[in-house]
Amino acid sequence: MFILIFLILGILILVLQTTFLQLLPAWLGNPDILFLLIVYISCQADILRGLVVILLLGLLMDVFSGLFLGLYPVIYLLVFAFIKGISRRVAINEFAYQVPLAVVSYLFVSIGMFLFSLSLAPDIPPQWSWGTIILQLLMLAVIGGPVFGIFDSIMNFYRSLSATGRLPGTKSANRFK
Amino acid sequence: MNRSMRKRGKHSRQIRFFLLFGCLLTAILILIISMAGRKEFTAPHKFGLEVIGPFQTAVSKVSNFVGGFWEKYVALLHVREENKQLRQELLQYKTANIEYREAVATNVRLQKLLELKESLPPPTLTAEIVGKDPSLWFRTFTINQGSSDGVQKGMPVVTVEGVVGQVLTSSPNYSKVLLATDPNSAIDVMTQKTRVQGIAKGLGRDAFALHYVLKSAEVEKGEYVLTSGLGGVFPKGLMVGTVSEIRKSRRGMFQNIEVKPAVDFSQLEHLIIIMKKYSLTED
Repeated sequence: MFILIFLILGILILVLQTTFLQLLPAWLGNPDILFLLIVYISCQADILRGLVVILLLGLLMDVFSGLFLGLYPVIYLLVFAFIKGISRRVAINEFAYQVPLAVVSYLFVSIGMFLFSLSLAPDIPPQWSWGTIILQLLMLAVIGGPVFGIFDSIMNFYRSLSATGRLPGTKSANRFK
Repeated sequence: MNRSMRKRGKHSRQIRFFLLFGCLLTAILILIISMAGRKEFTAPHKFGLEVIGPFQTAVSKVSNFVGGFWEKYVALLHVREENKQLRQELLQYKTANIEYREAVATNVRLQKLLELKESLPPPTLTAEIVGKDPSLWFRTFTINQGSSDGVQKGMPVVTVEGVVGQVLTSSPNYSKVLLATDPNSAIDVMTQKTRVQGIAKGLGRDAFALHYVLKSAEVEKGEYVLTSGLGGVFPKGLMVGTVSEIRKSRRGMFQNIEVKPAVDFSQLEHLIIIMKKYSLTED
């Protein structure tokens, strides 16, 4: 059920991002809410479910963005691995850490994408625009709090459903039962 | 005793974590590598596009309605409408003028040896943009026509203003279009007045770089750049843009020429797909 809920949420965000949010003026940037969802899932989900959702969202993102299939699954999985690696040392599933983490991850992903584009077309180097990148990072920092809040409430809703046992096929957290 | 057991338990948990993580990552990487580098959609990708496409269409229509309402009725009610109409008229005149110039130039160059056929437009298909690439690094669109309508990979996509791009891949009802301004796009072009040929490559922003133009070639600033028809993808004579900057560096054989696109890519809504991939002047 976790996979289904967050997959549907991801699809809704993807649709919004490719349609409605494109109407925003250029100076406001194009907020990557799907990336915030990837970060949130990486922080909150267990490895198996997180990997499945992230892989599916990466494959879907491939359909609507870019030229090369497989690029987004790789990027999202690297973000997932990076965050899971950090989470073993720092309690990043706490709200206060998530926004800075999303911003830092986005910066790394942008650098990775830049290098990838550079390797594809070395004769026309892609333009690294600090203005655009900083605008995107600022945008993520500003909307990160409220968006993570919404994701949290969805996660709480899912947990409450699981806890009350209303979801078919969900197991109790009590191992000694 | 207890401590050592706890420590061993912690170690085994860590090993299990890394084993599980490693196995999953390996499996997924194998899956990704098997399809990496491909540009053609596989069945799951097509399925994804088909499922999400209708949602995109619906949201896109609502967004366009809201955006259109705001633009047309709330902000600058009459002025914007009049301006839009005047711009459309100006565009029509510009297009007519370019077509006329192109026809005259072709006639003179061939010294009336060939009779310029009244070039009937090849079969075309109108499409609407239902989604835009959200990434900063790629420039693609999703349109609401697909392989069931006859759309195939490589078909040129244009507007009244000029070249937009070409079809990258398609599912039965939707297609992905690579914009001409994407760095992975290249179009055979020539300048209208001086007939210098080159290749227009996207710069990832609203500009093209005109490649392989020798320093000895004479290109003028403000000159129109049109498709040359070479390469067999774009028909000859479609407007690409105007020469906006010319630089001749001391090194190298070629000039550095920048071209301003004729199409305003931020204002695109409806597109025309040219179903025939050959030149307008060819049979």
